Amino acid sequence: MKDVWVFVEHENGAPARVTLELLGEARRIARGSGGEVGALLLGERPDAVAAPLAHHGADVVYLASHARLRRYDPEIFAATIGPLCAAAAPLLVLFPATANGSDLAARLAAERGWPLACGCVSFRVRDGDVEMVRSIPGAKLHATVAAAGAAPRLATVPAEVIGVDRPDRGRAARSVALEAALPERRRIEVGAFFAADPRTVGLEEAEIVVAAGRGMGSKQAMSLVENLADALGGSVGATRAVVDLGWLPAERQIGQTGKTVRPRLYVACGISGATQHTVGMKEAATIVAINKDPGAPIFAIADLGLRGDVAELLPALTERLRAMRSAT
Amino acid sequence: MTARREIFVCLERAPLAAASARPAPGERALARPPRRPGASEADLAAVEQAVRLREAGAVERVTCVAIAPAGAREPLEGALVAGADRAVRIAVAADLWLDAAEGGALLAAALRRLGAEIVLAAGAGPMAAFLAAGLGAAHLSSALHVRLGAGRVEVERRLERGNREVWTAPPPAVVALAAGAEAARYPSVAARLRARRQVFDELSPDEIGAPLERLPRPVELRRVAAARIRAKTVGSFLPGQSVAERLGALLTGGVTEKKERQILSGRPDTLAAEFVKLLETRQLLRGERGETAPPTPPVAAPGALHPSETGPTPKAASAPADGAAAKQPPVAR
Repeated sequence: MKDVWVFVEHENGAPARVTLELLGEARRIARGSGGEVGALLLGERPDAVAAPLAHHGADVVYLASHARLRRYDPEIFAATIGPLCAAAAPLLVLFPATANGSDLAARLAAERGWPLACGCVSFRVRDGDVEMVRSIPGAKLHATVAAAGAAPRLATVPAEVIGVDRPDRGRAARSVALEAALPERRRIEVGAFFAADPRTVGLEEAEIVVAAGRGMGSKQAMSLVENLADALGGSVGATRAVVDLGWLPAERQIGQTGKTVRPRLYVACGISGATQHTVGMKEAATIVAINKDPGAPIFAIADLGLRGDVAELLPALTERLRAMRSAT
Repeated sequence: MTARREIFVCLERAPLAAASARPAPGERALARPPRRPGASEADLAAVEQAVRLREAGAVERVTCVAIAPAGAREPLEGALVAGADRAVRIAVAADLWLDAAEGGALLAAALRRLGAEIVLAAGAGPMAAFLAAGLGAAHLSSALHVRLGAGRVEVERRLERGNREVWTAPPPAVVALAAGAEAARYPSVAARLRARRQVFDELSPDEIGAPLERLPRPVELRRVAAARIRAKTVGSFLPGQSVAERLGALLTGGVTEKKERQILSGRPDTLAAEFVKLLETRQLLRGERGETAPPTPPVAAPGALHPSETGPTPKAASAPADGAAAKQPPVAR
């Protein structure tokens, strides 16, 4: 078969961003192989997720709906997807390189002897086969691998490598119902889930960071940063200057002598953008800078620069976010 | 709690990480043998987990196992320095290249011979899954902390965004440790001297019933080359676009996610609207329960925003005639 499938990760009724990245990549590969793009969607009531999958490239959605699929259960998910992949034999199945996506891919590969490439950054279709280019941990090298046999190839792809294609809202996908497989004998018990508190989570794991610089002016002004972080559901960071002044604790420091972060959103408040700080945050997916100095180097790396007084702007941003939340 | 006799720690084998090691495609031999580094951070973290379990009385002995050239002291000596009691080497040629499936099968054969029931696997790769399948053991991945209870292995898993969850399984179990697991303690001089004198047990692939030529090899290595950063795409060509439109998109960066930067000044409420618009576009808005907030209609009046006239960007764009917010040209990072 020439089809390319994508294992869908979703949360709160929407596909995860990495899933949308994989769907775009699957479309590109399927164009070369002459096949269709399938999406493997498992969940308690995942129907709402199906439409965006079509917009981003899925031609068919294999949908399994069951209460036991509400959270990732390794043995149930592998028992549900494995036989389908074995029977349909897609050319390639893409998994996000998340904790659960990587677990499922490795589990299927190990149980069924299928070829697996982890940390893939690109793919090449060549003579009906697909070559997978993966990064080698610890080295600035890429290894190109291929399957030695005809089994479905499995690949994990990290987030924020490919980017999300523009959706085509006119697309629709066929839906194929899938039966959830509930093995009688299971070894792994999936226990308690602990959601991170953005106020205390380690900065390296935070998805949204609001950072304070010396331009905030005073320790009292830190409350403006904390309020904005709360409104965004993010964590508070700081430059070294802020930590040295005692306005925020040292574990919040970001930069050359602090932590290196790669959040999806980084809001720099009153931060000039000195290199010692930006080395610790320049890989953020989206950077918003708030500063009254038009010459601040931070604006050179920001996606959105808001020029103004932080004492006025931060409350305005916070107020707007809170108003939106109250309205929904 | 009755202590189990032994816990096994499988050390990483990452020959491709050494810049000098380039595999000969299609073969198991590397073009040049790698330099042999000491135990990696992941190895030491795994040994630390095991040592803490020994100190807690959950196990009596920590045994480290590594696929390494015959006679090589590392990485096993590093593991002994970190607190392991015993070292077992599966002796292979120095220039051998094994993928995750082959490495997992070889280690599984050795651990079966050694009677392993609880195994910690260092490193974030998929080898632990193949090892677990070879042993017929439960595979518990992405573990930050490991606890041993009566007839069970419990792990705290590291998920994205700081979330955690707990998995439990009865032995036999293979635990794959996540990055960021326990940091190793500083070793003592006595430990270093002891490790230097310690003799390793050695097994060969033939001896454990896993000759190299019979190991499974589902993946074939074709090339190794310097890494090239891939440009992220954000807009594929839409169906029905003309050649001119597609060329225009290419020339203006419409198909790459190299960022269009804006520097805006104006009233705080209108800047706030632009901020929210950016968050909506990039799906960054989270409600109280973490759900993505629905998009809101724009509130900025035409002409309320204007770009900064100075700044580190090469040139300031002038406001278009209709008064909408103007955008700066992209600036390469």
